[in-house]
Order: sequence, then C-alpha cells, then structure tokens
Amino acid sequence: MDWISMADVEARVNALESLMVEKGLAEHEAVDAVVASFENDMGPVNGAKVVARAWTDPQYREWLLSDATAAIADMGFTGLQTEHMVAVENTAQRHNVVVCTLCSCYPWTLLGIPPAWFKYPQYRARVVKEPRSVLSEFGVTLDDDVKIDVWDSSAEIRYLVIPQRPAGTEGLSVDELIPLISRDSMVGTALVTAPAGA
Amino acid sequence: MHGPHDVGGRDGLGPVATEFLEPGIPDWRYPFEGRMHAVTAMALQQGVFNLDEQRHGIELMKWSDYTDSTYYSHWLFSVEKLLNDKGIISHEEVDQRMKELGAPAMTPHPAKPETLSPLAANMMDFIWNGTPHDLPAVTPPVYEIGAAVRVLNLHESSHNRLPGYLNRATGEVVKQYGAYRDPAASAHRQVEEPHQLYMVRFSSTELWGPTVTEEFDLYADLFEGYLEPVGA
Repeated sequence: MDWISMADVEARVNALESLMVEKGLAEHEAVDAVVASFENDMGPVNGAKVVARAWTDPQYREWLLSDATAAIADMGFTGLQTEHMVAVENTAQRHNVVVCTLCSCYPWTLLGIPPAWFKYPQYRARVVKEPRSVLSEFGVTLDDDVKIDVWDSSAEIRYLVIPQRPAGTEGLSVDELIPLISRDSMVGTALVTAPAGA
Repeated sequence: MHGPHDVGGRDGLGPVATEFLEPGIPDWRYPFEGRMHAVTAMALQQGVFNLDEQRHGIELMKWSDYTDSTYYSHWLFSVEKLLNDKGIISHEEVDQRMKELGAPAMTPHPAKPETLSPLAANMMDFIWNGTPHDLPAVTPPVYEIGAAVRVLNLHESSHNRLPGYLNRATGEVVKQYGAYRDPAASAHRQVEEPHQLYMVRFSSTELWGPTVTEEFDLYADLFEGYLEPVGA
C-alpha cells in the first residue's frame, strides 16, 4: 500500500469499518460503544485516584509498590493493557520516566489513550538517551543530584509513575488532591504542583 | 526485527512533538482515530489476529511511511494487511468501498448506545477484563535476581521485543516476572509459548558509551532468550 494522505486515511478507515460490518466482524453501534467507553470511562483521572490514595494511605502505598496489579485492580482499574502493572515512585532523590521505544504501550484503562508525543518516534528515540534534556523540554528541571530512572516497556508490563506529593498539600482531602495529579506526572514528564495559595 | 519502529537512541528524528502539549486537545483528535482503535480491538476480541501479529504488521511499514505518517495510519496499515493476507478483506475491496462511500461522515465523540448488542457487550467485557499475557512456566527462570546478564547480538528479521539499542549490553537482573507469551511464537505461528521474562537494569554509560552526556539507569523487560550470562 503506497503512502496515503490524512484525508485518505480517514476514507480508508471508513471503508474498512464498512467492510468489517458487512463481513460480520464489526457493528457500527458497537464501534460507537467502544469509542465512547475509551473516551468517557478511561482517562488519567483513574490513575490520579490511585496516586491520591497512595499519598494518603501508607498501607495502600506499600501494596501499590509491591503488587501494583492487585492494588490498581482493587480500585476497579483492570483490563486492556492494564493487566500487568508496576508502580515506580518519585522521591527527592529519584525521578522516573516511562517510554515504549518499540511502539506506544500504555495502560489504557488506567490512564486512557496515550498523548501524541508519547506515541510518535521523537520522544521514544530521545528519552532513553538524554532523559534530562527531554524532561527540561517538558518544563521539568531536576537538581543535579536527582537520579533519573527510565523505564522502557518492551514487554507487557506497564508502568505507573507515582509523582511526589508537593509541599503545602498536607491538609487536602483525596478529592482535592485528585485534580492536581496530571496525566504527564504519571508518565514522568511533569511534576505535581500545589494549588496556588496552598 | 530492527525495523522503522525500533527507534530507541536514534538521532535525527526531530524534536519531541510538543505542539501536542496544549491542554484540551483530546487524545483522539479525529473521529477516524477512535474508530480505527475500536475495529482493531474488535478484530482482536474475535481472534481474527493477535496483538503480536498486529504489532509486527506495523514493523513492516516502509520507513518513510512509518516516520512521517499519522499514528493511526500505522494501525490501518497493519490491520488492512492482516485482513488481506488472511483472505478476509482484500486491499482491492477497500479501494472499491472507498470509491462507493465517498467522503466519510464520522460522528465525533459518539454516545454509548442505550442498549448493547451481544458484540458490544462482549467488547465491554474484553476491554475491562483485558487479555492477561502471563502463562504457566514450563521451566524455572535461569537467571537469579542480581545476576549479570548480557543481551545477545540478536539480529532477526522476524518479530521480537528486543530494542536494538540493547544489543550486546550488559545489565543486571532486577526482577523475575515469571513466564509470559513469547511474542515471536505468537506473531509468526499464532501459538502461546511461555518464556521467562526479566526486568533488567542498564547504566547509561553501558548503553551509550563513555562520551554520554547524561548519567541515568535504564530498565527494560526482556525475555530469557535475548540474554546470556556474563562470562559465557
């Protein structure tokens, strides 16, 4: 198949779906249902709930660090690409960042669809060779004495970064913490900051 | 295989696509992206092909097409090729259907249907139960935690999950995961064969040489068959 333009990609996907429906491999409404499920039931807020619980419940944090699959499943986040999880914790001495150099592996039901920059070749090529530079381009500047660990999800294990809880959030409830925890902080390309006035 | 997908450590691909960092852009910017994702999941759920076949299909793209194309065109390439090669839907049928349908009118952000058909209900189960990839082990792991291992000088043109930048690197086993489905057996013979999997740690100087500008550790999950003991 020769190289095709974006408009042709759309037309081709449209034709493929039509043929798959005709051959009994798909249904238009079922496709709608799957798209709706991904767009509405999955997203970074799922991961943020896990992180907020780990921040506020030391026993859960221990469980998450020793058996992330079970701890995450306990909150109802199971399923496609979230079957085998490892959680890695950021501290004052250590910063974690996740990549899939070979494709775009990402824990869908926990964090949703990965962002474009994660899927395209540039991040995947560079973050395993110059992570500190790449992180600074994302606005993350780490002190020289902070060690960086890069995780290449080359098999079926998926990684969740537990970002550091920022100072000034000690009095916040789980529900107040959740909106602070961004998708990028759980991939390792952002830090969590306390809300203004905290 | 060290195809166009195997980009770890490559120079010259350009700056990270930070224009996508703007807040508020949905991760599926165009409706065709979600629909391509959904039909792929549907085909996987029905066993038309498996995940390793789907990944390998993408690896067979022309290099320039891979690096310069929009992400979901990779999925389209692979799924269309698999359906064609398995005699289910030919490329020519897709060409013809494109002409018949004309300009697509896809609904962005469709609502979930009020009632779910059996297929749709199966898809919900598939999504939330997932497809575990671990298997009962047939042999125990060869490498203990702390073992020094060297990645083989492995250059197969078939599918594996060995990033090329790790070839011949020496690292340390950090974790034993147990046995997982071997990607090559799955992609090429559609069988599930257990293969011991390890988390292995490498230093940046080991990977990138003494002139490397940054010092860090890199972890990758590697199958036993990609490794040999140091001293072998």
